[in-house]
Amino acid sequence: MPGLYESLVTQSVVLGAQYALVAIGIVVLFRHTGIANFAQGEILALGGLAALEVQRAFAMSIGVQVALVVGVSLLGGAIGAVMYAVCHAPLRRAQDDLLVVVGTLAVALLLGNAFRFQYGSETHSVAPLLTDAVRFRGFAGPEIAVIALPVMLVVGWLALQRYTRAGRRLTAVAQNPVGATLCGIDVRVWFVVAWAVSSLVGALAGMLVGGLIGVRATVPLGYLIKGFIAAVFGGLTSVGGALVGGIALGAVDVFGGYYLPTAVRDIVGFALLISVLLMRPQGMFGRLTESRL
Amino acid sequence: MTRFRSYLTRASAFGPLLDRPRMRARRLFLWWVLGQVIGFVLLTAVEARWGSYGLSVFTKGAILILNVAGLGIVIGAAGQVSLASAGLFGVGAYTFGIVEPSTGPVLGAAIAIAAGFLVGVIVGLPAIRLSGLYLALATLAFVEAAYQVWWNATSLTGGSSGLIVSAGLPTNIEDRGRVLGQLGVLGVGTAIVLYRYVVGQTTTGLSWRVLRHRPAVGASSGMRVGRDRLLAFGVAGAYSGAAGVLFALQAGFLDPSVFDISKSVEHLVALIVGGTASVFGAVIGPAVLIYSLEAFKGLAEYREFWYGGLILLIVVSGRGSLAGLLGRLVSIVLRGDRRTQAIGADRTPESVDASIEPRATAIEPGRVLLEVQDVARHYGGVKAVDGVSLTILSGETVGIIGPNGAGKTSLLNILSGLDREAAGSCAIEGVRVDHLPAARRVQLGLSRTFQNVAAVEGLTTGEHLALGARGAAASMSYDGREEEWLSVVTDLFGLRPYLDVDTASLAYGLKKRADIGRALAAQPRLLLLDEPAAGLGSAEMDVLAEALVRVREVTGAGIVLIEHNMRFVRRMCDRLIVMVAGSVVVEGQPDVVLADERVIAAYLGSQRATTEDLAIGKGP
Repeated sequence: MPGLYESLVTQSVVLGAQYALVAIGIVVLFRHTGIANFAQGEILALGGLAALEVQRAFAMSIGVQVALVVGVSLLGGAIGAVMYAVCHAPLRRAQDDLLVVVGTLAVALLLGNAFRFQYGSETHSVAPLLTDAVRFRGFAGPEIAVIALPVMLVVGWLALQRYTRAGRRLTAVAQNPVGATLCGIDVRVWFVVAWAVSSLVGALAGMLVGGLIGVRATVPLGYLIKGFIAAVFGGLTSVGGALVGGIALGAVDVFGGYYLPTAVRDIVGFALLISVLLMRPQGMFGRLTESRL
Repeated sequence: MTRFRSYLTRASAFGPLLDRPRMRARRLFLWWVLGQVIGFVLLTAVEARWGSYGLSVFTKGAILILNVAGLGIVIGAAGQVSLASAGLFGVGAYTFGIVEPSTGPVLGAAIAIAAGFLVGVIVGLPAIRLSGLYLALATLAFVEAAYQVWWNATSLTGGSSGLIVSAGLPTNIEDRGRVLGQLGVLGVGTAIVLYRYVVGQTTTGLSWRVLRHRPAVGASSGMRVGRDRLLAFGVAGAYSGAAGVLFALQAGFLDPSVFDISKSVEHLVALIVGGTASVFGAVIGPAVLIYSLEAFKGLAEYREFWYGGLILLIVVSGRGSLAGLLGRLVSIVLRGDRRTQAIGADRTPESVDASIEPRATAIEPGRVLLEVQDVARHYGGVKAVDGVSLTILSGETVGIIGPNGAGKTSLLNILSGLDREAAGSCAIEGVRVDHLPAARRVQLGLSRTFQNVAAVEGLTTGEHLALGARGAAASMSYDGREEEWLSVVTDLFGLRPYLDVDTASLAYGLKKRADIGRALAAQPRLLLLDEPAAGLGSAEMDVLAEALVRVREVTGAGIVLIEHNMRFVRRMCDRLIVMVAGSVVVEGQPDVVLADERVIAAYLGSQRATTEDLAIGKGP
């Protein structure tokens, strides 16, 4: 029987990994396009609901599961590309922070409402990819899946950035779109890639988290905000920072939830956000960019 | 000349900016009365047509307009991203609900509005350092945190069981509706007049419009950018606070779930639909939304589809607002898609013809204006400025030249206080300014211009001059000749025909002159110019040089200029400083410096070049 402390740590990691999954999707997009997607919560819901639909239609087998993962990834990538076309492309020259924020909010409204019409507001249970039969230390199968994905994403993403041509191009586009264009890189292609990868991460995350806590038509805004807090912890530009931030925030929530009253618990998270924003807007791991006058 | 009296009357944060303040106040009052009359007529018409249901929709509209107008001040006027309105709305409503039983409705409303202002200022604190997305997140977090407070601070708010607000309103539904509608008219009318007054006619409003586009220009004109941002959030908070009071009165019962983030989104949608160009966007947007929801009853269920679709339409069209989209369509239909030419582009520059006497306040020559010792600024591994020392005297013009990336602009940013030096010291007329922000340095007599065109979109040339004059006014004692001085600057730089023209539509050379005019309006003792001649034709350049020489003669000010055009530099400068890779390599008389082997090597990378090559190295 694990002690209280071990159990709180386990819960922290599981909750933190969920925040990290939301945060990684946000960071991937923000780092490469400078845009924050306020519809990331709906993209998570999309992944979970897709899994729900597939499970209703087919009996689960290894083949179906593989197809499900591939299908959810493709769906996520596609919705990302569509969001680029709708929210980002028209405003590429306008440089209007507000309109981009509002554009993604609009997509969130549309998707969220469409899902609510179709699925109501109750929680639907989804069979996890890894079942409870799989166990490791204190973690059950669905939890392991939720923890493994962000770790794999961070390792894979960093490797991609460092060792592949595509990764270096993405970085070039992120750091200096004009310079990258002058080097013959079609910036638009890489913006689409960033959107697609970000949404793909979101959809996969939605599927795995759905296996753990069930799927709802709308992801509560508080959940998305936790993702943002975790992302800000990494300065919105560091994928590794998002993972660390997510786990840290998970610990704040779980330990705070145990030792503090509920109201205070949530305010601690926001206080953390404001202090990080004010004291280190570049995050614990990110770098602040200088603007030229 | 009376044109300028206006700009200089008083320098308090909300002091009037434009001509004859008393007449302005009277005109504003007349507008307010007119608004009340129109509102009353509307209210009566609504009641006649739709009865008390219509009145309740009318009041809802007024609540939305108050919220959206507040958001319009932060977003539209001051250019800050904010999602805070739902939280501030809640602050107003709950404050009123909590204090009203003990204070009565009038005082209670005042306290609620004040609470909105205060909380708005606190929410705006991150805006001093943050912008864009980071600010959106900080304000979003505020709404969530406030939302938690409404639910959980049960001893004050009643939490999920709610808070009853009675405030002694009539119980009869018609009378009640009429009173609330009247309050709505009062609130909205006052809000609109106040918006137009503060944004259009006060120094703070001017500052907002500047910091929306170019905060650095505001700071370098003496505007207290941080304070002014906070004020924008505060005023928005007061507006949402008033909306909260009206909501508490109408609902009679406060339920925390009203004040969640989707309210902020609704306010944003309304603002985007109406547009942020003027306060009327804040009326049009809510009117369109509320009318559309009422006219198509079936729409209520699909409200979020409708909102989302409307925004996406506006976003995809790239026109910024529904009003802008419609306006664009109308103008294409009526006139075809024509682009207008920049104003003043076809004019050949006139010569300087202002006859001016040296000023009584002119600085005696040879006074030490600026003393800089060993300043350095490193960005990561790049030593942008690496131990520069220099002294500038009154009445002299010093040119800083050097290849691109030599650290010239970085040095100027340090001197003007936009960037802090990592090491070294800097003194203006003996006063150490190392830790003073840009705005304070302006008040000590240091003004600057910018390399990129720094004419602020949406401000007229006259307002640029006002910006310069008002920013410096905070601590300088005026000698009563400021109008004369603005008039002189206007004529020296040929700006008189363009005083009421938006600088965004001026030709390039005129924009540069408007920026120099802004810097000079502050009556600087030391003027820093970053590439004043770049991009000018040779005739324009001669006129500019002549004007600057006259400025120096009349005021005795010192001038520091960064320039690549050697003809301009030779004509203007008494002394040259050559920077290479962050350090001063040569300093001295222009002819001597330009013949120096090291300077030629720095510019041309060869020892064979002559001074003549340098003279044609760049520019005409």
